[in-house]
Amino acid sequence: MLQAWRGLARGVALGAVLALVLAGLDFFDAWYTGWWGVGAPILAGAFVGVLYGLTRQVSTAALADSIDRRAQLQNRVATATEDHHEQFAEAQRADALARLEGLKPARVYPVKFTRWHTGSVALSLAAVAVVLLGNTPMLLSAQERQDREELKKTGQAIERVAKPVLERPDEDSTKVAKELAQKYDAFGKDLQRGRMPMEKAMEEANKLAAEAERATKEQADRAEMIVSKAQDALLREAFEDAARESGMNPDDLANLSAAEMQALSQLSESEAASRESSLNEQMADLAKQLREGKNEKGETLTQAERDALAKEMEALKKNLQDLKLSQKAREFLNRLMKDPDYKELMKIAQELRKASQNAQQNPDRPPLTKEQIEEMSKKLEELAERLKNDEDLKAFIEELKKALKEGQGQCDSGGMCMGLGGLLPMWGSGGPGQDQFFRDIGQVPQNEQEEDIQAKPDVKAVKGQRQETGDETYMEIKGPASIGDRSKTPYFKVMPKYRKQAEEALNKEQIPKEHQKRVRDYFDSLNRGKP
Amino acid sequence: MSAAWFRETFDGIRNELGKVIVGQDEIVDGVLMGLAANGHVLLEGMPGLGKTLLVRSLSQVLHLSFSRIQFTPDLMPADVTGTNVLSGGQFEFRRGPIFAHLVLADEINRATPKTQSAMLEAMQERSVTVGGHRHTLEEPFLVMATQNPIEQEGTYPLPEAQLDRFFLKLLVPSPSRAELAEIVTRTTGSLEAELAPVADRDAVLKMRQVVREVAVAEPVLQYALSYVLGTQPESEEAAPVAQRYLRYGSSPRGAQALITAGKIVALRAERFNVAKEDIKRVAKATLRHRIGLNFEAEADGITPDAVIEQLIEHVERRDRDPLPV
Repeated sequence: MLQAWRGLARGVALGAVLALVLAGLDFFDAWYTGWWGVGAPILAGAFVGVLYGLTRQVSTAALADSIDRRAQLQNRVATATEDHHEQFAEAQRADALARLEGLKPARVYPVKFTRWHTGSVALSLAAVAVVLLGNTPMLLSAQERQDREELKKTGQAIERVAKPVLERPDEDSTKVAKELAQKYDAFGKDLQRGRMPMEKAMEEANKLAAEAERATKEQADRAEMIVSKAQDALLREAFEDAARESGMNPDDLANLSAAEMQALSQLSESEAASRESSLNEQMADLAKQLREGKNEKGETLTQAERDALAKEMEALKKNLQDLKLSQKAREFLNRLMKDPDYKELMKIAQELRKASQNAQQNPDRPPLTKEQIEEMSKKLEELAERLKNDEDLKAFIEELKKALKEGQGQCDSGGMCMGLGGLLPMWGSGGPGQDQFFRDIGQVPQNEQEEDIQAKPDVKAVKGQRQETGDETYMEIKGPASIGDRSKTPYFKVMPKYRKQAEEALNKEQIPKEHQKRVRDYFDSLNRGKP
Repeated sequence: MSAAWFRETFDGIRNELGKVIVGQDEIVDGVLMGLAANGHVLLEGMPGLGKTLLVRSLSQVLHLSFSRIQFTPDLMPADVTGTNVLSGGQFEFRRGPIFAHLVLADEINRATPKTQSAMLEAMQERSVTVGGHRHTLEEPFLVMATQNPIEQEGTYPLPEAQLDRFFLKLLVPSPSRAELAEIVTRTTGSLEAELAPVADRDAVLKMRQVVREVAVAEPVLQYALSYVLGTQPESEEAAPVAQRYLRYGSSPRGAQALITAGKIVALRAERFNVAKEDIKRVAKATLRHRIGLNFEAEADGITPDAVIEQLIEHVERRDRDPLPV
């Protein structure tokens, strides 16, 4: 037991040293150490120390020597435990036994609080103190305290959003969405600790936003691809039917684009006949020229001209062949174009394609709303119900539905549909009185043409008086906002107007006095970029 | 024959000597230790401190023969060992003063090395060879040699090899005021103490036998060896003080002396085993004449006893509880 007691002290001391190191790293923000970071090494050290003490083998000689020392038995026990053959050996053993009989183990090995124990307690307390010191707001400046509070709030908000995605069953969300949600969850927890510097938090947020954007784009591309496949399959099925009826090669039909099909379906009987007649005339004329070896002007044809005419002849033959689609085929196409199912599918595909393009062009905007997706999903279900006979088509539609569902999974929590990246705009919008925002700010290009204006992030902290209650530190926002549509108008075209309005407001004291300087500074800073 | 008998006999002799020897407990104990251990004793001290009286009294108490040899530069080996003389047409060996149970070699460092050597050879071999005949010295045989630490003029300091043959080296201190007063009172008064024999030759031989029966545990043996190795400057276990101040350290005889002396101390404590405390107690007496100080030690005024004190501290520091809690 004493060995265990000793092992406990040493184990705790070693664990406390490790805890102290972790606490030190935490103090200098090199590593985040919670209470587990202090407690776990100490507890583990204690366990290992006790285990080592209990299992450690002690030799008889060592024990005897130790007892002799502690009980001041003048090496009687050590001598008695050895194999001596002197005349006094027996007497010596008897003497040693007699001395041992009067001994109490607790007196020989009292449970003492040794230097190791003191040291282990001191080190443990030091580790706790360092963690406390690193987390106490007393040592922080007002700005740092405010930063921490802000980060905590944002962290809580992020965690609230990421949690439902994590708790959802696996089949209801994609692996990418789950991974992203996990990252957001961890990020939220880090923020809640309030130990992350503001700049670093922003860097992390930007990274995650970029990742979310990537995921959203991939999602949109995939949805578009699935729609395209479904469309192709539906058409293929229809063309095969049409080809069977008209005697055409289904591949020829399949190669027609949607616009060509549309045009073809709207072709009237008379137009078709007239066009056929014209084609026949052209072909007869070409055949004549080839046969006689002379052109319309009577000039002899060169070999190159002959080849060109032959090619033209082939093309005309093909056109004529196309025109010879049976009336049934045209009727089929006509029926297909008017078919409500086909129209519905085309509409969904169009919406999805538009949403995908929108997501790629403007990642800050949601490609589809939750309601839109729900509606599309419902329509697809109905369509699938009506197309019960076609297994392949039904499978495609199911896949499309799934793709939509995945898109929806990234949209529901927080009401924004650009994946988890949609969480980012909520940063800094925690409620009234919120003084810090995270936006892209920087130089605005002075483009004369209408185009998307890109901005380089340039964040800086500004200290000033923002509220009547006193000093407050906040982040200055200069540059295009990341929420809403991107501006397509160069700022200097509208700035004089806005500046005038601002100056009027300043003159009329519509802007509080303590904020007037900020307004002037803002317009001055915009002026700097203009030649 | 037991530890108790040993103690009683030892204390009996000691108490009887106490009738005439005032103080000097350590010296008396040391001499008796040498007697019990079958080892010779070197006494170093000023003249007139009762060395001769001690040996003479011891012979009376033990009923043993005693002789005193005053060593002088002109003393010849034959004057110590004896010589063959022509008597009745035949050579007859006439024994020298060495043929006694207790021999006091007074101021041994005044004799020439040749005479010293003859004396020390007899001490070691327990016999003398004269005219081709070997003459054995009767046991118990104990030589107590004295040296004057002050007078170095005209002396022949004992070489290291010779010093090593002494079991113990005892420093005879000057008496304290109280002891001096007692000495003066006893020696100038009308009452003269009479010593009675409390033991005999056989008892001394038995005591030597008993000493050998005391067990020594391995930790104690290792502890004793740490002292010896600690004195050797070239040893890996040399104490820092030995490395700094010693030219040479103890020989294996030092280890033997430590253990044997430790056994006697244990028996006196009615113990059947040697304890580390016993070793520590006899360390100075057994080692001080077995270590050689270097020039630096002489220059710093370091004495052998100071070196041994530091050696004890060194060994104690390294001797730790194998199960510290």
